[in-house]
Amino acid sequence: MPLKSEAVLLSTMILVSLGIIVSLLTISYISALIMYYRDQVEVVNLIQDEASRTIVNLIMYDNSTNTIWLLIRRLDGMPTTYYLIVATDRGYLNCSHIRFYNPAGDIDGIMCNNPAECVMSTLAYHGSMNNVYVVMEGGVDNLLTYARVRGYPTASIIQGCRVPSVCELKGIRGICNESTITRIEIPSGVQRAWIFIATMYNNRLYILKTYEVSLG
Amino acid sequence: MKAQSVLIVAMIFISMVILSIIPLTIYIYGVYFRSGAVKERVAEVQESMISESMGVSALFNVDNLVLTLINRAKQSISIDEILVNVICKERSNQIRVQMRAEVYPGQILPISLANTAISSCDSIDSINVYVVTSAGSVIKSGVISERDILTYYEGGNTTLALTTKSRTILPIDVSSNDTLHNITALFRQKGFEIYTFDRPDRPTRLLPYPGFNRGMQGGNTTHRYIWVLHRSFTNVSISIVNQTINNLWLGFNPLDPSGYNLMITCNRITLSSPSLTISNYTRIKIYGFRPSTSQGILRLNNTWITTPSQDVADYTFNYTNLTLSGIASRLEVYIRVPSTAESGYDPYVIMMNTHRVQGKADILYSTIDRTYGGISQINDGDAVLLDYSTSAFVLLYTAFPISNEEYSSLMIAVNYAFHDNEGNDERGTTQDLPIFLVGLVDENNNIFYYRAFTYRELARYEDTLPPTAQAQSTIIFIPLPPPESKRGTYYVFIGFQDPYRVDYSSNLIRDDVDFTLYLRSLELIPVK
Repeated sequence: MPLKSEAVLLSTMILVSLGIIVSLLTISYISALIMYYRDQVEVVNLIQDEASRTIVNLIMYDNSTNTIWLLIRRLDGMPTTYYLIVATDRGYLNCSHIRFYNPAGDIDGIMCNNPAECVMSTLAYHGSMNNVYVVMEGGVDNLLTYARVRGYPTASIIQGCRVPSVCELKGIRGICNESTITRIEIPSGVQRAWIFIATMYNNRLYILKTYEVSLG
Repeated sequence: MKAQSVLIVAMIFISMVILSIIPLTIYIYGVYFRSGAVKERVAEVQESMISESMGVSALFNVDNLVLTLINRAKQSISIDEILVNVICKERSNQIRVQMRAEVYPGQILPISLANTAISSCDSIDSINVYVVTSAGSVIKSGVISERDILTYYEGGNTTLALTTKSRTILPIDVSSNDTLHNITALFRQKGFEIYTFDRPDRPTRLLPYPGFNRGMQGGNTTHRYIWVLHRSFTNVSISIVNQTINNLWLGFNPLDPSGYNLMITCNRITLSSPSLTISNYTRIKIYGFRPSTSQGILRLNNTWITTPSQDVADYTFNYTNLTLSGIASRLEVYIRVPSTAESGYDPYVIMMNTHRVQGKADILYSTIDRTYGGISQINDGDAVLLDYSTSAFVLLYTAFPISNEEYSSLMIAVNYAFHDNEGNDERGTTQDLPIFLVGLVDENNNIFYYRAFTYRELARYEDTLPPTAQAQSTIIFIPLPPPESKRGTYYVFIGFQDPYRVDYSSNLIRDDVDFTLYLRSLELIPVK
């Protein structure tokens, strides 16, 4: 009899511990799932937020020098860094093609007529399109998938270029309502260009907006 | 007992599993829905790059390097900075003008680019303006220039386009070195040659002017009178105190608009300074008059005139007391003398401007001496004072030859004002004769085309009393013959005259019209 009651106790303990283990596994699995969803929602929210605060506008396309002049600006006046990826129908551009205007170096009022006024952007990302992300259909996907879906050019290696805002250059820490002017040198023969403006989050680039410029 | 304990253990197990799964399922369900809401909001990251044009226009004046922005939109624009793309000698330059300004609808904002690098460019190919607003939008505005229009036209566009800027013939440009009182010398210096018509009513060609002391006559058929320069003074102090005058024409001195040019007619006059008394009809011309009176330029009866009227006839038929005091660069006193000779146009013409403009001289020609009348009176009140032209005064502008190989047609815009002293207007004349004519002559001085401004047309828009010289304007379009038929070079002329001698037939006094003609501008617009 004692043996029988011990067996019942043992089986009860096994069942209870199994129940606890199943519960814990379920909880941790579901927690991880929630964390993932939360993270996604946070990223999506952040990108939505950043996108709504960032304005990019084409100033001009100067076909005599094959340059695109862009205006980038934040509505909230935060002196943040912008990240640009530029694709053309002849491939992705590297950072040496992207320069930003530094008003402090300008003495004659003519923009970019000497090198100190137009500083080359610095490399922020060099690698595959798989590791650059974009919010697509509510979820986060990589740039390669996005480019394929959209019909944009793809490349094995792309560069994300860092363009500091003019407010950063001027050392303005408070609210700054100045526009950052960026000059993109387009190789000759390019008919169309796509400008991706991105933000950095958790050391990953997320595309905020895509602009298509027809140069033909 | 055993079965019960197993059941209890099973219930505990099931309830543990259920209690851990249900709330989590509900939580996940909520998360799923929230992410669905985000999905709807952030479905698209692509945006088309469209910049606004928002009704901003820009004009660029190459002479003073002022860029004028015009807000034609219905909302105000808050400007943050302005970027100007200037292509100078095929090189592209981006000029940045930092300025913060609010431009309200309809407002004009002049921006001087004189201190920017644009001033070193002597040949600007094209200009584009990009206005960056405080909201971050970029408003584009092309700047229309003469070259753009030319390029547009040469591009084979079928839209009618003028190809060159207008050429100003009148007012003539004068500088402080010029003298205004000798009109023939003045016009010759300014690119004109002086001619007359072969006939006053329907001219066919230009003839050499018979001599500069000829062209005008006065009086009736039996007793002839002319205006003769009696005295002239330079840099003179003038004082006229309470003298009755008939008419006054007053304008700014184009050489220096802080002074005035005026012409006075009167039956008799005594000048206090320079001391002079004329007991007969007199015409006085004063150049560069600077009043010493603080109340105004001059006083008519009890009213001080502080600025010249835009209506040149405003001081006609005044018969009031004139008082003025000041200094003048030149004073001319003409008197009416019996003579069968002719006078030139000098007694009748004064160069002036009704606007305070430096260096732009308009022509005022007046044969009115005294008063007005109808068909039963002599208009000027005395046959002695009737004036008429024996030779029209024709200014041929030779400084701008117009070749039919270069231009297909020509537009001439003329602005003028007219006032006469015939109260019955067209009934006071026996025929309709041209007062002034604008047209083209070829190299041989044969008239190719003209537009005549006849008395009855001009009288339609004026009012003899109260004196009103309505400002009028006309554009004359002259197609040139195609060069295949005959190559030719043409020149623009403008001629004016008083064609009316008195006519006493039918017991009426007609054709005794005297008038004032103010030629304000003559612009030439050649069309490719």
